Amino acid sequence: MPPDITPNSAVPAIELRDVCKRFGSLQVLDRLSFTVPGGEHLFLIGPSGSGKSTVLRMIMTLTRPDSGEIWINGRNLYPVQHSGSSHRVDQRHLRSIRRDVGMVFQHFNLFDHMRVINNVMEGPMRSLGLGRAEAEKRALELLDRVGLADKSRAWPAELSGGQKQRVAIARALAMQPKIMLFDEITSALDPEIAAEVLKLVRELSTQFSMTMLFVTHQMRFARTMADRVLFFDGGRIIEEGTPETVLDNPRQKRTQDFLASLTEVS
Amino acid sequence: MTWNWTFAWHVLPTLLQGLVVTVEATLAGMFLALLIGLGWAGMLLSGRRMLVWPARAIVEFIRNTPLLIQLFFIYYVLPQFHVEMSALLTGMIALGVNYSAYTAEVYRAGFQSVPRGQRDAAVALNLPPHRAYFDVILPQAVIPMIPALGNNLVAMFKDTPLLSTITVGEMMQKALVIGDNTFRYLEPMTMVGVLFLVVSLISSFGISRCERLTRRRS
Repeated sequence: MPPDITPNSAVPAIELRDVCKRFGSLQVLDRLSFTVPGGEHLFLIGPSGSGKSTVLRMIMTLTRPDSGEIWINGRNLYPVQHSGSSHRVDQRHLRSIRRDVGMVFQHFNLFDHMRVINNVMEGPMRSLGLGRAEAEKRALELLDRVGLADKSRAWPAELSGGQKQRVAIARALAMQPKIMLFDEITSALDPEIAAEVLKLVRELSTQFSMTMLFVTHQMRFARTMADRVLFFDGGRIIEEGTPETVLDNPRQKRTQDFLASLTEVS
Repeated sequence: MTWNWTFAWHVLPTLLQGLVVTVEATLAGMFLALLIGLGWAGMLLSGRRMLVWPARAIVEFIRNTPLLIQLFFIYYVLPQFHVEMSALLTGMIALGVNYSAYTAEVYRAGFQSVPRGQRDAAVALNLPPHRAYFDVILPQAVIPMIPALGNNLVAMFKDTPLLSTITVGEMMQKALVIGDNTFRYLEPMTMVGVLFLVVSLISSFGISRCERLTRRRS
């Protein structure tokens, strides 16, 4: 954990309580509970379809749990309403919590009809209410930070995959979130490019004090970045601990098999 | 019967008057189609069964009955229920309602072509819903709509001769009147065809230019 963070143990950054989610007949998350203290770098690993990405999407409010509670910085995303219409989601309530959360996606999800600089300015201007000049200054600083100052006037279609993901990272950082979610951010990139993006994220993690959640299959990255690793299988956490314990000395057969299969591939 | 240039030039001004009515009917029809179609598309995309089903039924009904029947129904049947309008207004409404069904499909396809990830990114940036809509979703949905809406416009333009059947004084009607009075059909009918061709080609060219301008960015 970076030294400049004073974790407030009373209020975790994120807390899931008995979260369930099913898509059709598939139980994606099965009474999932875990807590993320502020400033932690938490890695969610496990086989595809084990529910890791769904967890990130739920924290970002992109997917609603069927049951259970999600707390962000001490606030419940979907408090039970007294009016009786429990299915109505209070968008204003969600927006006020969501301002502290940012996300980087596997497929970048840049706004293709906006230039790079406008992609990064959109959130600060339209969500945080910054003026154009201030938003532009912030955007240029961040683009410079991710090594793309010269691409600020380019269209996303003119960028390589690695460049797009750098822009997406700058765009998320421009919102100055306290919590950042990284959902398989290098899965769509060539190994070499992936390594560069991960190097950038590692550097940024030391400069910006944020709670960070990663869903990734990059075990070397996890080993060096993670404060804690959760191993998912079938919508449950079947093993958790420091990267040394989970990745190097897994107790569960399922974890051992999965990690072995990854080494075979790489 | 041989082509008579003098006669052709003589009737041209009358046909051009008809063309003005044709264009008016098309533009008014298109405006109505864009507006009413937006209503259907909104209902179709609402995800509420109470809205989706009626919209689905109406759109299918409109698409699966001939425009000519719809036109006659509004012109001859509705007056019996004391809904009376001028022939031209009837024509505009019939075109607008008929094409609203096709326009709704264009809107729906446009909005569904915007990848899910764009909405996700708008949420992740915590954009207010109206900003997500106007800054992110709408501009990207409109681009693929342009060629399809353009096609609808040209198709509607070419459907306007149907209005001659309810006595709208559009180009076809003018040509028929000239023919009935002079027993010369060759020149007026040919020139109506040529005028349709010219206007359609110009419109298509304009639309493809429009399309290229919007596509250049992405």
